[in-house]
Amino acid sequence: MLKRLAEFVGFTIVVMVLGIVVLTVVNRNMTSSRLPVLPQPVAPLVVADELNVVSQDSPDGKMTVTMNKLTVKNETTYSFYISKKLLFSKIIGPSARMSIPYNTWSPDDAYLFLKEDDKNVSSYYVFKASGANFTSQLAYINVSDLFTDRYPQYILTEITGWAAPNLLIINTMSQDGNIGPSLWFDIPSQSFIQLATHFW
Amino acid sequence: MKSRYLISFFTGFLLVALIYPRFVKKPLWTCANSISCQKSLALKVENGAEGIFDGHKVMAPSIDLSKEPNQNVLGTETPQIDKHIYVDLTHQTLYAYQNKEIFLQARISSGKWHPTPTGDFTIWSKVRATRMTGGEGADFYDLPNVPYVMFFGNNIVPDSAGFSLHGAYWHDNFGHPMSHGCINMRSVDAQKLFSWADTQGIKVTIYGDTPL
Repeated sequence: MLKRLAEFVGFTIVVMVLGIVVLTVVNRNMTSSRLPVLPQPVAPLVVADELNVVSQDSPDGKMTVTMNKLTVKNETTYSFYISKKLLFSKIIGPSARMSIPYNTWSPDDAYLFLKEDDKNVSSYYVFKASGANFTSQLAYINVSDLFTDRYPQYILTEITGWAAPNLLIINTMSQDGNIGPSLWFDIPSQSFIQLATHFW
Repeated sequence: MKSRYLISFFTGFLLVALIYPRFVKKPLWTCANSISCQKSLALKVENGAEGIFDGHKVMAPSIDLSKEPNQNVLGTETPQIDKHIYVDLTHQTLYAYQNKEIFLQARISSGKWHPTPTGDFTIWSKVRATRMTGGEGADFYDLPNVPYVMFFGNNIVPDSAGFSLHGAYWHDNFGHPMSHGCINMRSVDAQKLFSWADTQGIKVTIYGDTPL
């Protein structure tokens, strides 16, 4: 009797284990994020590199920011235009370069930000799309300098884009190389808001 | 003896059927937008309306349907051209293929606060604009005139859940997860895709792992 019971229970357990294994495998296959086989494009695919973005349309399509670069000897003049009107120009040395980030425009077309890289240090500048100054003394906001003053314990690693019309998304790193918090930078108040969630 | 093993088999099968679902957490793809849900599947244009996202007010772009060609139709005939959309969640990039040629490559924003489903889907409907509302507390969002909405589904993610590709006017952080499950695109990219998606049976393959 006990032997029969043991056989029954044992076989039932074997069936259950096999069933769980089968269901788990089936579940994984159904929900897997396996890579699909993409068709090979006939035309060569040119992947736009953010570093090579030379123009970007505003969300409403009414404005375009364009970057021109002129190198003479060891200096490069970067000039940025909004619909052919000069917004900003800077002469920098051979170790530095400027670029238009992909998400440069604020969602309401009121602002845009530019990036300068120099020896692994990135600086970010915010401009009004109208070309107007922020104050009589301030043509643009240097977000990186403000951040360094406010959070000396962190390094600003990247501004990825806009969370809202007035809010830039900032990712950081601690001085010891660990991932730091994400923050918003509010343009009108020029203040930082540390976030509980991380924006990748 | 044979009947004993048969009973044992069915008992084991029954126990697995009862126990397994309790321990395996599957996302319930019931609603992409928890409040508007099925209402957001219909065309809705609300010019002058104000939206809310991430606790901030946003102004929705105005839409004048009288100035736009009627594109709210997927067509009724089997297409001769193979159109397929691929969404790479790992790299937050969308590729729209027409036969073997790339029609569009664009950065997207997939689910940050709720996951974007992966798998093979079909676009079953599209609307020029609709209102999407969901979340709660600090996560509450209410967005009128969400533009160029293309709904997709399959046998696991029902059409009624309202997952879609659409334009997003409330943020500009494409290439990074930002949504509550849908695939956000720049409105200019969504417009191109919306015009291009004019036939029945356009497939959408979503794959990869969203950076979180």
